[in-house]
Amino acid sequence: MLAQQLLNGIALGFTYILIAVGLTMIYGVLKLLHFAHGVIYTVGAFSAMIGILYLNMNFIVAILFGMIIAGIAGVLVERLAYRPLRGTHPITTLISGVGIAIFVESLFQAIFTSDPRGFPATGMKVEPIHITSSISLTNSKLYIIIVGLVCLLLLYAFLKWTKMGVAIQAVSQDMRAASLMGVNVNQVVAVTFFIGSALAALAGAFVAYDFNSLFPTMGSIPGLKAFCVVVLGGLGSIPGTIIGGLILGIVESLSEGYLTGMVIDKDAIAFVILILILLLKPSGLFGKQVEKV
Amino acid sequence: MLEIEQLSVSYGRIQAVRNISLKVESGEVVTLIGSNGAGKTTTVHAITGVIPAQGSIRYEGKELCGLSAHQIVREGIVLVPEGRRVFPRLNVEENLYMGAYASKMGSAERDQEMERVFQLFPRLAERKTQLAGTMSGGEQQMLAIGRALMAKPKLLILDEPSMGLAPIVVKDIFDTIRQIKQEGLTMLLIEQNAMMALSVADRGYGLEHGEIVFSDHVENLRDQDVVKKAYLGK
Ligand SMILES: Nc1ncnc2c1ncn2[C@@H]1O[C@H](COP(=O)(O)OP(=O)(O)O)[C@@H](O)[C@H]1O
Ligand SMILES: [Mg+2]
Repeated sequence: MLAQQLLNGIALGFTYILIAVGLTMIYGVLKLLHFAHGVIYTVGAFSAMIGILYLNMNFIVAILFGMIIAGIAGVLVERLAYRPLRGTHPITTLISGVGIAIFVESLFQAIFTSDPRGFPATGMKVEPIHITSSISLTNSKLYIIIVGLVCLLLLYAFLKWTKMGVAIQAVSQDMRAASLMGVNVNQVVAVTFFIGSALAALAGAFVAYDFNSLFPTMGSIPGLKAFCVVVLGGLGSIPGTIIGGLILGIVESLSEGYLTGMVIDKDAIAFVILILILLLKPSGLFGKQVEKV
Repeated sequence: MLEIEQLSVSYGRIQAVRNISLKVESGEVVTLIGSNGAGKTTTVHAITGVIPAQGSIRYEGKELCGLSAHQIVREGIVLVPEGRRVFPRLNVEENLYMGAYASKMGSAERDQEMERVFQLFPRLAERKTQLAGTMSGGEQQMLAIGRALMAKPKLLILDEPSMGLAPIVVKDIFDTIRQIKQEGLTMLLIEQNAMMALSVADRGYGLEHGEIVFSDHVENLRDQDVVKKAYLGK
């Protein structure tokens, strides 16, 4: 039972990590809380669905398609909702992000209705894999873990060993100094939004596939939980986000296994953790310092 | 090489730099001295495109006013910013690598350039993998200068390289600046420490309340009463 819940928790944790990594990178470069990140996750899931239903894509191509569309959507959100407000009070950009989220959710409701729909069939059936007689995992959850690990390794290599990756780190640490080295900050910001959005889309598409369900507001709770993960790990810290995501995934999964019927709903745990962290260690587990918003 | 005419910069309603004119010829080291708040950093930020300005900044015949910071680096003007501003969570090598960001050097040429920086600052060579944020102020200043040199500047601007450093470290840094001068690099040296600045520069300008109050060859400046009184503490 414990091993089973841990395994499920790790899979859940990886979906949170994939969403939250983009948030933390975006916070890093712009010191901005990107409240429209949850809808980017939704855009990813719906784009993958459209790829399968209307563009005859297979599963993998559809997921990549969803990532690209969501990446472009993320870049557009930055361009239209955040860049014109750069230099204004952080609350202004935050409200702008919330506005975008409401707009996109409403647009999706108008086009697709609010009703949940199933993830289109691709021949990739969700079925359990038995690891031991008592421990099993659905193949979809196993894919999430594998794909999540691969993405994190690729992201690490990108940030460490490519010119653009090091520039993203440099902009996160000192935007002005980076521009004085010849870094086009707007380009770095766009690349960061693209990567972060594509990773959120990956999570969105996989969750839709795993639960066989898509709906226009599917991104709002995961988006908020990703915030909790980022605050838990420490704003701007990628290792912190990874640890934070795993902690939340595992705690949620354990509570589901052991605390069913308790006063606290599973989805509330993230916010309890958020409140505790803000009270006890506002800079998060790996945070450097707290900046006032 | 660099010709600034009638340059003004305002922060909101406050004019921090008023109609200043200044020239740097190729091969020269020019210093701009002034006390805290005189407008030195503001001037440098206008030249390097960090803040918008009115007036004219011509560099090798090209107008720079209106270009942004990342474009101006590509023209060959590189700034060692006030307060050093190395990337604290990148190591020494990565900081230097960022210095070469705008250049079109291949990796072999870049490694060669890095070797040159390590020769100039052996202390950095010993700390290649140390995070810049954990180094001493003097080491960070060396790294900031080394990082700027990685861009192969044609005009190097240093904004108060002596700021916050112990006298012995300041002497080290200025010895290096002298060495760079010997190699023929054109520099604009911003300083509050007039004594040190006048010891390396060919010509100097004085800035007070956003206006140029004197300009001359350093030999003449050292003898001028105003300069002595205001900056040299004599
Ligand atoms: N970002 C800013 N906003 C408003 N005023 C500023 C800003 N930066 C500098 N100033 C003002 O402009 C004047 C010149 O500052 P600065 O150029 O930094 O002087 P220096 O480098 O000579 O010490 C000062 O009065 C300072 O208070
Ligand atoms: Mg200054």
